[in-house]
Amino acid sequence: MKNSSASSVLRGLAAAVLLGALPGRAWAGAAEDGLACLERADLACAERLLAGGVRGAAGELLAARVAFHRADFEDARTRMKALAAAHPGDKDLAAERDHVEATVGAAEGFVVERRRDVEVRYLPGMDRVLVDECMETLQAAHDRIAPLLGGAPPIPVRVELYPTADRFIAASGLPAEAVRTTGVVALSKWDRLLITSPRALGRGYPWRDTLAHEYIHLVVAWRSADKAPVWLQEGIARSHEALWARTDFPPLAPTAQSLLARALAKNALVPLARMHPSMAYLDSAEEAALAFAQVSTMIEHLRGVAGVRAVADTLTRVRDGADALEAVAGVAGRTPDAFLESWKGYLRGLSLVARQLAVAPTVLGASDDPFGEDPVLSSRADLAGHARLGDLLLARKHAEAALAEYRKAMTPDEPPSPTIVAREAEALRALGRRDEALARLQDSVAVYPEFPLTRKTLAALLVAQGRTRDALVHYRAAADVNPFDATVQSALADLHGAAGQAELAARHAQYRRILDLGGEPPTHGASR
Amino acid sequence: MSNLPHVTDPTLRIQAALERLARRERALAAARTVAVGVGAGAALLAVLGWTLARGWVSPAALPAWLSMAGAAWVLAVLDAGRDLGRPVDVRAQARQVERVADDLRGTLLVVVDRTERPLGSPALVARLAARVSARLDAVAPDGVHPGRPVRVAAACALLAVVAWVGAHAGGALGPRAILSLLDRPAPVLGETVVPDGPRAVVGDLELRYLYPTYTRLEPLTVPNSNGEIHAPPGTRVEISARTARSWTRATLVAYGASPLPAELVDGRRVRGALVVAGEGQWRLEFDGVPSPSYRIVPEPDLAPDVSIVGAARSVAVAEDAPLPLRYAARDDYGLRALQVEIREGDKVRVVPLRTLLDAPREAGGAVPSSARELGIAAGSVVRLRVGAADNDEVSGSKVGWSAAVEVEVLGPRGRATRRMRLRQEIRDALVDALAAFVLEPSPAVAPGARGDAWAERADARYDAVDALIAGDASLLDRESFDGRVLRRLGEHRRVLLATARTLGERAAERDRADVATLQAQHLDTLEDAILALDEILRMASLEAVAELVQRLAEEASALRERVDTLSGPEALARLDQLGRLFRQLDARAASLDEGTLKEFLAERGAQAHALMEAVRQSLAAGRTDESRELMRRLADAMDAMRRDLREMQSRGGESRDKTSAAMQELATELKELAAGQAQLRSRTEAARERFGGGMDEAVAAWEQVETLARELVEAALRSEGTRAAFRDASYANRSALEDVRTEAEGLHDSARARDLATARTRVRRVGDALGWLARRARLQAGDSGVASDLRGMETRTSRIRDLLETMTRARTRASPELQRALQEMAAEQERLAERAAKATESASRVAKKLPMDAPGLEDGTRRAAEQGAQAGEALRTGDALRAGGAQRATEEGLQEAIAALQQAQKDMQDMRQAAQGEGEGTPGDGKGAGDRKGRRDGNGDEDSDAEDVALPAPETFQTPEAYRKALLEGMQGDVPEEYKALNRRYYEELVRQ
Repeated sequence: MKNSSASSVLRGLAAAVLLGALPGRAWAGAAEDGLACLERADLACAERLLAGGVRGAAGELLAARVAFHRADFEDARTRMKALAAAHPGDKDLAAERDHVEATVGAAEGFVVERRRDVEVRYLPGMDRVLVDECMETLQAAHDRIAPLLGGAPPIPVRVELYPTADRFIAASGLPAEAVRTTGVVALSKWDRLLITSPRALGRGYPWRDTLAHEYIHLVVAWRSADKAPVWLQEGIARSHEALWARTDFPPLAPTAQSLLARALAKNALVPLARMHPSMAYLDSAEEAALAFAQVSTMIEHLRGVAGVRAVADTLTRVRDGADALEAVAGVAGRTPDAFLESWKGYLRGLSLVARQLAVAPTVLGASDDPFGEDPVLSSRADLAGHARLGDLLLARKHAEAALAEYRKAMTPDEPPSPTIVAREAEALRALGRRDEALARLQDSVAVYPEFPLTRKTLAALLVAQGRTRDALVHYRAAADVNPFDATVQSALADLHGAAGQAELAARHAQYRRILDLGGEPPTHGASR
Repeated sequence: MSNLPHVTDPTLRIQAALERLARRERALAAARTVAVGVGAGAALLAVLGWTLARGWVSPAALPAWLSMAGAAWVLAVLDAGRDLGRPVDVRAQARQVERVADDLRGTLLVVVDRTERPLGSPALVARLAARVSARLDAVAPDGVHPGRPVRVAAACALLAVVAWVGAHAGGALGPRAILSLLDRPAPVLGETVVPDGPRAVVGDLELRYLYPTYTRLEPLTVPNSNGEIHAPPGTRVEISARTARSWTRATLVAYGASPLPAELVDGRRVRGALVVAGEGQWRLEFDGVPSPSYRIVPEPDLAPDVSIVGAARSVAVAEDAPLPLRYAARDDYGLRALQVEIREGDKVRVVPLRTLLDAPREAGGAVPSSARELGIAAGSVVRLRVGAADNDEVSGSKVGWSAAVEVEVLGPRGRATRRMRLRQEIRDALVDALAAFVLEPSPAVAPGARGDAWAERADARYDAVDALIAGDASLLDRESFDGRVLRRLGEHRRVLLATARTLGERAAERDRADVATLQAQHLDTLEDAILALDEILRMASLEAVAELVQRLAEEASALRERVDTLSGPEALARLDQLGRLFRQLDARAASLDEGTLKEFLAERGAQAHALMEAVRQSLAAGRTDESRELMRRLADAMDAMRRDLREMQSRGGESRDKTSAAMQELATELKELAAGQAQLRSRTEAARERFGGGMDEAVAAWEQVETLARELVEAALRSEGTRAAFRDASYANRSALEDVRTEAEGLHDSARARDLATARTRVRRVGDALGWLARRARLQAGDSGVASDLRGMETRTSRIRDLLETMTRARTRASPELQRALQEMAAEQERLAERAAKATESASRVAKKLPMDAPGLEDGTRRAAEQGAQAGEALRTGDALRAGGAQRATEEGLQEAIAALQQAQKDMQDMRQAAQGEGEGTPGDGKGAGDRKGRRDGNGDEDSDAEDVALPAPETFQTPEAYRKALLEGMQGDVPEEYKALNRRYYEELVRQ
């Protein structure tokens, strides 16, 4: 998943930038304890100590950081500016001040909405369509996932929806190049969740799972006093991220299955030691994706062996100082080696997709490359050429010939491109071969479930066949990836309405209206 | 009604009475028909005879008139006799009787019906029939079918006959005279009719034509003429004749004018002369007695025939480029001048084109002027035609015109726009062609089928493309990127079709396979051409979209600044302006390829449209604050759109820059490798020269082998005698001939690589194939030429074999010093080979990123890697000669890859330039076609040169046509190497046929 490297990258980079130098300072008393609380990802503890009264520069720093963790950016900025001014030679403070300043800029114009345990900050306008589902996702994660991990921190879940990649980069404190090359779109840090709006990516991304993923990092950091290594954190987050919407572990994504199957066959699994200090330091995006698949299945295996409390128990052991692998193995009642062997046996027992599948690139913002976001065509100009020829032929009503070109854009040694499958389906539809089109799209959705174009095309075909219930599923999945597609929102409004789900129909009709007007309709008579 | 006493049954009496009535009706109809026929015939003959006699109708038109008169007569007669064929119908007669006899109304028909279909009481019917019968007897037949119309018709006929007789008496031609006119030459208009009477008999008529000077026709004498004169006006005709008897005085009468003097010799020989002035007659008169009249038939000097050759009905042309119009003009006797008529709206003007010396009968060429030189401003659409004036000095010069061609004149910007449109049209036409090619089986020519039929069909798929190129040839520069792309496609197309045409029904499998190979290559080239044009269009669309979005954002920004002070109408006007820009943007977006950018524009466009609509509704409802809020959002949305698009372009630029950087990096690496390899080869040779005593002979031997192998290849390619000998050859023979060539080429490569083992294998194969051919040639041809060809090749092969054997026997291990020196270089060579292998991977990655194929890039690097590895192995084993050969092959592979990469870089650069409209030949920049004299001055006036069209030879101005020809027809120049053999086979096939 695109965002999964977020935390690992951040842990490798942001921690060094912002916090690395500070623990060595001689801050005294409660303030120092409060700062230590923050390092343990325990904001409540820091707040308690701050409320108990702190003094001096350390106290000011604690107050500033607590404000920052609580997303009170203006207060944090005022305090950090004063601190930095009082310590002009302190480069770390200056850097921290600059970051807070950048965050203030990134969050400019944000408004806050609170419901139960969730606070959402966002820029009014189009991103309003995210707010309801953001609240629902996080509340569900809070209610369903946090108990599996041993409970949630006693603070509100604070989330910021950044409308552009630039704002997210500014708020994350990460180098822009790192964000663009690693495809980081979300982050759990400073007891907050920072997430890029799916609008900032050309075709969106599965932002609700990403949100849950980051929330899990928040909980794990708190539960383990931020002692869990990257592989354990990512394993728990990746394996649990979908549980906000379901009760059982979903099957591995086909791309992950493909990577695991090939690594197993070649005995080329990524050793856990290589995942430290960050997944981002692995040799390639593909290797990182393999590492994520490994740790995710490892946690699934742990739960399968040791039961539903296994993850919570592991985190407790880690918080108490145990080595992560020993903690995992201990909870499973085995030695580390035996656990790893049993996990490999578990993997071999899975019926993994053996075919090689490409990983879709993450492209921030729209791309002028028509196939820039396609997992296959983005790196194969030769195949993309055939795809374009197919498009040109189809546009001139040569559907049969278009089909031939689309099929030339698929080679046996390359994974099937979801874009091509969607176009192929269009050509088949033009030829009246609807069933064939449907079958091809369904195959593609099984392989690339997060590619909205395929979902949309499939859903449109299903609607044409009168299979509105099935169509609803695929439109819903498309909206979960890219909620800014007005046609999808319209279709959802219509289909929910037809299914008698008036509330959902009204919601999606409202989203459609928001997308049309760039925000909620202005109140009559209101002035700015 | 007459009584029929012997018939007592009333129903039978009624039946008989009605039948009588029917007979009367028919008799009357017959009489009327005759009367009408006679009357109409007489009237028509009277009118025709009269008009002919008066000369109102030309005898030439007589057949037509007769036809019409005949048709009118037939129609009249048919109309009159239409009742004749009608069957006897007693019911119809009963109805007619009831119409005239009130007391029978409603009863007669009942009786007739009941008689035919008995119904009701027979007694009652019988009583009724008796009553009706009695009444029917009282009805007069003339009351039912009156005879008056027949009498009237007869009277009219009589009158017509009287009129005809009268007309005849008054000079009208009679029927016989009329019919005789059909056999005679038509009387001439305006010619007085010579009264009948005695005629002077003449014979031995001789006509001597002295044509007008301008016709440049030699005098012509026609002995024993029938007297008819056929000549162009102005021709003097000298007439001589003999008479049957002697006369004292003779005159010549032509055109009914005053008699001309005629010379009478010996009383019986007469001579006179007349000048042809038009259609007419001539005759001689002897002492007042006329000879028969003879026709004078002028052969008019027609206006010249002019046509525009090969051009579409409308063309677009740059203002300063020569018009892409070629003309052809011809005239019976000569052309004097050529001119161009330019019609722009209501204004018509004629510009002289050429004044022709020596009045040639035919003239042709290109219109050598540019639109600017013809005084046509950019942006104009004119109708233009070429006229030719003849040299007729008698009737006056006549001008013939070509069909008009619509010419759109483009300035630099218009030209760029038109060129872009042309690219799109060509791309679309190519896509249509592709649709057929891509679905064809391979090979397209099925076994047992002839290739020419397929080739015709395949060629026709390019008709639309050819028409586009022909129509706008001046817009496509031959050396431009588009020009190169299309030229390359044209070459592949011609080779494919030419080869396919050689396939007969019994063509060998191998030949069909060759066509299949060419078919695949042609398809690849066609696809590449489409993609190249499409990429240019895509980049241009992106530029245009960015420009439009920028304008939209500026408009929106202005809207935002004034949002609080705008009145409703002002706001609506600004929204309208935005709406117009959005429509342009929508049109532009439609031409983009499917993808995120198109979706992005569609989504943002839809949002903007929705917002504008919401603003309009708010304004209409008087909700000012709401409309202002919405306008602010609209401005924000436009800003965001501009920002995102800029970011997108920047990212796209980065991506292209990365590809460019990767290409540059690869180019640098390849050059370094080539330089390193060259240096290493020099060192290898230096080591061999220094330590390789005794190798000089081997070096010389290899050089000989290389030379002989090259000669062998050339001999295999050029051996006319051998090809001729095998023109009816079986597949096996031709295959052997092909093998000789292929193996000879391989042998040459092996010799260059100094690869002894491979060279020996190949020379053996060449020898085997030659041996087979020689045996077959002896059997089939017994021709000394063939034998000589083959003997020459065999001699060379034998010599090579000897040299290689000698080298094998003399092969000795290199000296220890040389071995050491070579082994020291081996590691370096292996490193170079490894780098070449990595460069192969880079080349493959780069090739996949390129929008166009880069032939030679991957092959070259791969070959370099392979040969480099072999060179390393040869160095390790101390084989200096083989190492040197492999090193040379490595260098060549690298050079090929470098050239391919440089071409790809140039293509990309050209593609970008084409998309940006660079090099469009803006006035004054000296680029592009034209920009010669006749440039507008600062006031927009033409300088004097523009009107003064001094015309040099047309050949000077053939560029567009030459280009068109090169694109459409020519395979005059070189073709890709791989096709040469196929070309040769094509011509061999032609020789066979």
